[in-house]
Amino acid sequence: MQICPLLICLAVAGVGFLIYSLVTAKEDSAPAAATVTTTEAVQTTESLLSTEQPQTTETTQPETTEPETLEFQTVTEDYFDDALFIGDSRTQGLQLYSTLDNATFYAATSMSIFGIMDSTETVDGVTGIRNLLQSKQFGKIYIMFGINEAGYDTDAFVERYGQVVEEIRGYQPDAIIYVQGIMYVTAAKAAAEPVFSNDNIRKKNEGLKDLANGEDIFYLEVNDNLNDGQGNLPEEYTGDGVHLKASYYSLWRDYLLEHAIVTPQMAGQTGAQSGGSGEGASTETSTADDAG
Amino acid sequence: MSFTSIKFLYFLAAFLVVYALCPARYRRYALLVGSLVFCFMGSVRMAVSVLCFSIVNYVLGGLLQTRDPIRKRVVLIVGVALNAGALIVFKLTGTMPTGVSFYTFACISYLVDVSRSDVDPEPNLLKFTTYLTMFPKVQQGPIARYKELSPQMDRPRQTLQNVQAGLESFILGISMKVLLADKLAILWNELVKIGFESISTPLAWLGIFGYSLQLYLDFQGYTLMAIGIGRMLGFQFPSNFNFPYLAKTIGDFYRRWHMTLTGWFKDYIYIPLGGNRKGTLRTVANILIVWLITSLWHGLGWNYLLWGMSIGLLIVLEKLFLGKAMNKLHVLPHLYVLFFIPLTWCCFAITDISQLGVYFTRLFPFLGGTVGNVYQGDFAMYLGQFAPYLIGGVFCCFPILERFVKRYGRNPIVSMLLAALFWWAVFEIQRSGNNPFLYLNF
Repeated sequence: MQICPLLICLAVAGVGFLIYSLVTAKEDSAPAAATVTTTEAVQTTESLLSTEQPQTTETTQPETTEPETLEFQTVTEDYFDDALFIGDSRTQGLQLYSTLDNATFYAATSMSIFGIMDSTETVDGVTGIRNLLQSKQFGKIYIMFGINEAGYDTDAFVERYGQVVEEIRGYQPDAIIYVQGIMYVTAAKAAAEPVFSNDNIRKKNEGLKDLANGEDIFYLEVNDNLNDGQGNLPEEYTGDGVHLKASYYSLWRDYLLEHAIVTPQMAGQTGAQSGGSGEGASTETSTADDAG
Repeated sequence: MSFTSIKFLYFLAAFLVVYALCPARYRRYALLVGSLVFCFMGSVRMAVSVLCFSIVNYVLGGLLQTRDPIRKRVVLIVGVALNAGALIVFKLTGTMPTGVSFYTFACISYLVDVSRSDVDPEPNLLKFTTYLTMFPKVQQGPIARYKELSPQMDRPRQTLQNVQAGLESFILGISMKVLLADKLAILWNELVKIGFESISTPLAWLGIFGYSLQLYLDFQGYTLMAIGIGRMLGFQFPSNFNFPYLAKTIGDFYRRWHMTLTGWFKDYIYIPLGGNRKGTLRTVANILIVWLITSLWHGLGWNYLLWGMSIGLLIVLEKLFLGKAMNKLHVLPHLYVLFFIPLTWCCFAITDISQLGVYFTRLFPFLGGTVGNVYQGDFAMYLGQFAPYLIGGVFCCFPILERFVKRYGRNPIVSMLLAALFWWAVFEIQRSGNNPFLYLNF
């Protein structure tokens, strides 16, 4: 009898594949529930922390010199010694092609705001963002997501972003958190694939602006340095319409250098380490005029 | 419709079931209907275009059936001009219906073969249309000539043995494309993303080797899928590749690369022009003409011209003296081919001439040029990331894999491995393509 062994094997393996697909489809819906519960858990500890905080700030902060709104200042690169950058492949590019070697980077291709907390990248010997955030205290944390979530509803995106920021705050009570606006794509990219429209990006960025509180969470419009004048990423800055070319990461870095928050504590610390930058930072009120 | 899409796999499965259940004498109609459905699913434009070509060339073929040599000549010239002209117009206006580059060549070969009496003109429009629209080959070839397929279409060899052989070919093809080529494509994309001025020289070389592998795996992968489906339906399509990276001269490389195209150029342009039988000067001219047209067939751009004419020049040099020398040696010819071919693919890959120039200054830093912002560890990083695909790709350049599968494909363990390979490829397709919103990969 003539048989076709391969056809038989395909059918058998196909059944196995089908079963596997059904099993993993069930698992995929479960983690969503898990992340919700962890966020809730963090939020309860958050509320405990927030009731404690006013007491600690009163005892450790110097009394009256805290201004109501902190202004952006220009800093030098050592500002990023205790900085953590979190993001997707755009942030990876910043890691490889900017001069900010002193900072810590937790970034990977296809990272999204929905997956970041459960991700398992290994940085400085630590795996997972939660472990990294618990392993040491950072002075500032920069976040940029958005391109991988282009197809998602703005509200869902912003809501999740807010939850992530709160959870990070739970691990890092003293860090300045910078929510960086989603970088634009080129006009050509947006035209070719309308899901990447810069108007959608702007809508999401408007939502992200609301996450800032002017005290320890700030919004950074990095697109100011990366704009062709019509609200798109300039064509010559990029090879694929989405990522900056290696030679242009300096523009992003320069924006960060010119839009830094220096709190009195930071000024005190840097003053102890290196006199020069300490002087500039402690005279905060006088530099408020020329802040970006 | 991409062969490596879930949509196509569903279509193929549905078609094969219908085809298998269909009584043997009606299968030719099932194939015609299936192919037309495939074309319309691609786009109405694609379907209408191929149908027009089918009707026009069917009529021309009939008109060639004349004793009057002058009339025959005129019909042939008009026919070839219509087909070539349509192709040129499509290219110039940038509005190419899918597959047009391939089926216009199939039509031209049909008209020429009929005029030479190598094959009788087809009296049955349905059969001719089936030949032209046959879904496994309509999009990207292989360019099967009418004289080869016509007898097969009357009596397709539909055996379980051919189903087995066809499946083996199909699985190898889809695996090469999805599990290797598509992964290697990411490497080239990374270099584009970084900007050619900011890649290190080792990375630049890794880039063109990766691209060379990717191009082969992609095209041979597609071809194996097409040949595999054809085999399952009872047809023996011609091969497109004969392990080109094992060639010892550039001329030999192109006798192993996209063979149905280069064969077409040889039989319908090179030899009619006189081939190598009209003296050295004429031979050189003929080679350059063929490669000029080959460049234009691939695209109307200076980079394609550079690609084609570089190859033409090398082949001319080989015809004059270089080829003989290479054929006497053992190691150097392979290094020679593996050095020049990736460099010519570089011209193929980069359409902007100034960007091509930048890339060449990275390959050959002594050429000068301004270097951008290079990350010193880039070569090591990408080599590490892409090593498995590079190694897999190099392995596929040797005959060992295809010979092994051909010989042991019926063995239950090998069959099971092939089946597992197929479902792995399907899994990858699903993962990367099913929901473009969920799996944006930036």
